[in-house]
Amino acid sequence: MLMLPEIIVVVTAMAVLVADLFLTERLRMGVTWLSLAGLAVAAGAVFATPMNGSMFGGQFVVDAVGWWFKLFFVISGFFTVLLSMDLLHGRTTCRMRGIGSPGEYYTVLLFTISGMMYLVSARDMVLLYVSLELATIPLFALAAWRREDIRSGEAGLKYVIVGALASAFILYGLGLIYGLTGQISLDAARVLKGSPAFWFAAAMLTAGIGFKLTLVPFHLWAADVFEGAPMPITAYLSVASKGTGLAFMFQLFFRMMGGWVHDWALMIALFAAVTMTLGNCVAIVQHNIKRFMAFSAISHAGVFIMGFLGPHDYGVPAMLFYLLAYIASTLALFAGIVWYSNETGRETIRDYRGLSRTNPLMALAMMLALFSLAGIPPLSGFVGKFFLFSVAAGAGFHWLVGIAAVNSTIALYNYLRIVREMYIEPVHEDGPAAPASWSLSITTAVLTTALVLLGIIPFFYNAINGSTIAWLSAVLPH
Amino acid sequence: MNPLIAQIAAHSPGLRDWLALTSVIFSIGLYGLLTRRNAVGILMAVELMLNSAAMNFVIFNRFCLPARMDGSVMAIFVIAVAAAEVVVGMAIFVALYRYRGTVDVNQMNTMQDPVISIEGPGDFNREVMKNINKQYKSRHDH
Amino acid sequence: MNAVFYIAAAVAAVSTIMVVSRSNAVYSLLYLIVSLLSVALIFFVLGAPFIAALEVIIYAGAIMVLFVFTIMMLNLGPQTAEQERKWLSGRAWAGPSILVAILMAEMLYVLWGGDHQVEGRHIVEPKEVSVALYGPYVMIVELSSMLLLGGLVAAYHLGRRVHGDGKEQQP
Repeated sequence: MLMLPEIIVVVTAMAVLVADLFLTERLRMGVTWLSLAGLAVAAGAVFATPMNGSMFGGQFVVDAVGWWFKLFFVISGFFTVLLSMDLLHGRTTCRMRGIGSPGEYYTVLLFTISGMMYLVSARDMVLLYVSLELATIPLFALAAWRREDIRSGEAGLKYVIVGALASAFILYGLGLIYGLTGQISLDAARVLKGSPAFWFAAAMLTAGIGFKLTLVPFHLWAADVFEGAPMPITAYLSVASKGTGLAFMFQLFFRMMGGWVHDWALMIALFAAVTMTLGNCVAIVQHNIKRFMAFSAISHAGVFIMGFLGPHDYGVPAMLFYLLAYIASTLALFAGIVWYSNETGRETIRDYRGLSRTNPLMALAMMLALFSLAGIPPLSGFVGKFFLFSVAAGAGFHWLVGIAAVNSTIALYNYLRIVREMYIEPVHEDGPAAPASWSLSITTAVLTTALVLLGIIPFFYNAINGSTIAWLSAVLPH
Repeated sequence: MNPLIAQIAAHSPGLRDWLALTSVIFSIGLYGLLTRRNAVGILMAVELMLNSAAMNFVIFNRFCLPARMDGSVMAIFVIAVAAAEVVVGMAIFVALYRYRGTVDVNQMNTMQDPVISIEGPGDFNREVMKNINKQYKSRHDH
Repeated sequence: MNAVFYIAAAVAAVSTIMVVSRSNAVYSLLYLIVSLLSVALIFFVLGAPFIAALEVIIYAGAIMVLFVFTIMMLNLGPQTAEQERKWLSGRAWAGPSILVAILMAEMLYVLWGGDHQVEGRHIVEPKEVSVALYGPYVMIVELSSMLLLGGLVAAYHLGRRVHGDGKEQQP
């Protein structure tokens, strides 16, 4: 049964919605357990599904790339639930009001995860578009979930407008491609080349992807939405939303317009260079940790799209591996940030001063995550960046690798700012009193271990590389 | 099928007239999105853009591949998706209005990037001099 | 018969311009309904009467009612119109106008490339659309129903009022 993981996620969402009606206030934690169990089973189901096969007359296809993307989406959803549970059930020292209704929250979250999973399996424009919207429209509401916080509503408003604009652009571009090929299937467009209408459609689709993936100059919404959204949703946006953007770009650029993407490579390289540079430079002046993470996510988007420069069998495994490393590092870091904000309600970088003395383990985990994001050698972030840089270098974009190297230095400075606050500055007089809850501790422990192991043990990269290479060389002509 | 419909359809103009119309509506919608300051007005402009894109699908379906229903089905899904988008958008606007009393996007500015403070050389020198003086004093206090 | 198309197209274009240029939200909403109805007529002329009917029922019917409700709830009266007018009277319109004019010119240039007149038009009958919808596309129908359910659940949460004592009230 190829669609089993998606069905499990959807059924879990419905079950959470129904269970929420019948559970009393005391047993409300049940919805969290249900969501966690559902996502864990879905992750198992992803493992159980084969890496190739199709359903619904080729509309829904599982291949190695989609398989890995699905696994990453389920994993990031699982850890997002772990990050959210304290806040949703009001088990925080600093009580934030208005975040409530855990049942609805998990339902909507699970729907977005199922949308992402359908997105990577789509082989026609209808499924591609509807699943993209299923992955993003409920996210608008999640960004605005904290009704009492004016920033949250404002974030939702900005996200709705930008998301709707992006989907209009994408839809118009898809319409033109449909007109050019006369077929709704994504594979039909691979033979297209060159006509003015095609370039125009490609430009519109690139703009739409730019909005979804926060490429400069389409990134302006990201900082405000990240800052206004509730903290676990900020974490979710920075990993899952980035993964969706990447999966969507993969579907369009490699699957749909695979014969043409090399002509567009210079454009992608320019986008990568500008996105990395601007993201890192603006991150220097940020005080708020959420805005800082937004610009960190923007600069990482620039690194991710370097995977589209090289040949298919080279760029895709590198991109997938870096996505895994990025998810582990970002969520490990966010576990610390969520814990700090739950305990104190503060979210500026200055507030983290002296954390290494009050909570050395959490500070260590956050430091490892920051080093991984910055790309310090033995950690997974370095390995992932190395592969992506070598893809760009292999495609002949040596200037881009130079810019990326300079950017890594700026990024290192940015991330070291937080490490410096935690390790060198004097202790904050009003720091968090309670240690991290068990859910946050588990998240931190698992993900920190993962981000170290991913860098040291080559097994994971080999697994991704082996399975995706086999698929790509079989299907795509070079 | 009604012969009148068939007759009308058989005499309608060529593809480019249709496409000109959708591109005009899409552009006007984009203009509205860029100029409206009220969030509800912006959402209306987005609806226009989505609508013109859906029209594209129906048009291409009719002209390029009339035997299959793909484009018409896509148009139906676009309408459904637009409905969901409007529902979520309106819910957010109403929730926001309750606490802000406005949905004017010009007033949506509670979150901003910090201003970069560039210290002039004068300030910098003063700071350095102060430090040197302090060190000098502390050394001579003993 | 071409006249049907050109008149409908002219009405659609003019009413669309009115949608974006009226400062009062209620007026632009009325023009939006006109625009959607003319688009429905265009679908009809195109030989897709079923889509035209859906356009009227769902778009001009259901979605517009939602807009009307929101405009009533948000109280977008003369004061808002005044703000909008003040904003529009400045030089603010110049940039968007140029941008959009360029975009439109490019689109027209690109799409004017060739004329694909196809003989023997085919009418998209409701039955065919329904067969397609519940045949090959049944999975996507389910997906869009989940999308609508997700939107509903989210709107339910966002629409709930919170009282001063932190207790939530059913809407």
